Amino acid sequence: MYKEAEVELLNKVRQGLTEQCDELPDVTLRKLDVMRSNALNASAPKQRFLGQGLLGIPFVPLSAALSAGVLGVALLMTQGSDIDIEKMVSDEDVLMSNEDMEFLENLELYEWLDAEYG
Amino acid sequence: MDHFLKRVERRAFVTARIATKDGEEALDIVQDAMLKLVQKYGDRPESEWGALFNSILHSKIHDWYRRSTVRNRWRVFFGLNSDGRTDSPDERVPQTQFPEPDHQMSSDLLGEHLNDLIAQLPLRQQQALILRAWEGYNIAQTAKIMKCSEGSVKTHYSRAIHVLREKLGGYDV
Repeated sequence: MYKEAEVELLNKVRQGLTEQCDELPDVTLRKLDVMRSNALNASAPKQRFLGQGLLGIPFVPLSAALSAGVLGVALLMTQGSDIDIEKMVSDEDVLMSNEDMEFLENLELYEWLDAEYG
Repeated sequence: MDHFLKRVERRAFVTARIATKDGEEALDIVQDAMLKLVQKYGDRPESEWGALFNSILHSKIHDWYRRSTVRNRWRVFFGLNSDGRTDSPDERVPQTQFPEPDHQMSSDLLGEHLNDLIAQLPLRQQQALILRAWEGYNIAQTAKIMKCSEGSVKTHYSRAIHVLREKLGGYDV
């Protein structure tokens, strides 16, 4: 009984939301058309950030050098300990790659997409 | 991509408008989501676009919500509303009482009332309800799109259903 009522409620929810879509005014539909065209026309990929870093040294080589330095110090400090250096190196690879932070934030979603659709 | 966007744009707009309660803000959010999908993920397989687009859209809505919460906090601090006018204390009290439903209300009115109730749900409950009930994603997919745990999705979704059932108790649903 409860299940049936819930299914009925969800049907009403879907119906209500779909009706809102169907009843959108022409002016909104025209704006959506324009936005879609604009998005498709602006599809050229953004240039990756390669701006100047500290003292005129480009950002990417600078961050790579700094990361290598940190990794070197970590290796020296962890000699003889049980820390998994291979895992650290793999994290370094991710951090030093050219991907932006958003990609890293969404990494879990991509892994899921890959598992689901890949 | 054109065909895909055409297929999802209305639903995206309605979703964003429910969350923001503002058509112009909703258009901005949908535009940002479209741009981002095309620019960043256009080269991904088409089968992934739906989940990616919804993930971007709900993330943009969430960002908008956080920004507006901060803005509103300052407005309350200065006693201003969005037009820069001062509110009376009564106007600041959130709506906690809803009109009693009329048992004999027509289906149209029920739909209207239901839409209002969905708009009044907290954002995360709204998102869970729309993604699960309207977009048809399962719990795991919804959790990925909302960037939260499956347990949270279950909680948000069941709370949303509970509130709707409670508020619509008198309707013949």
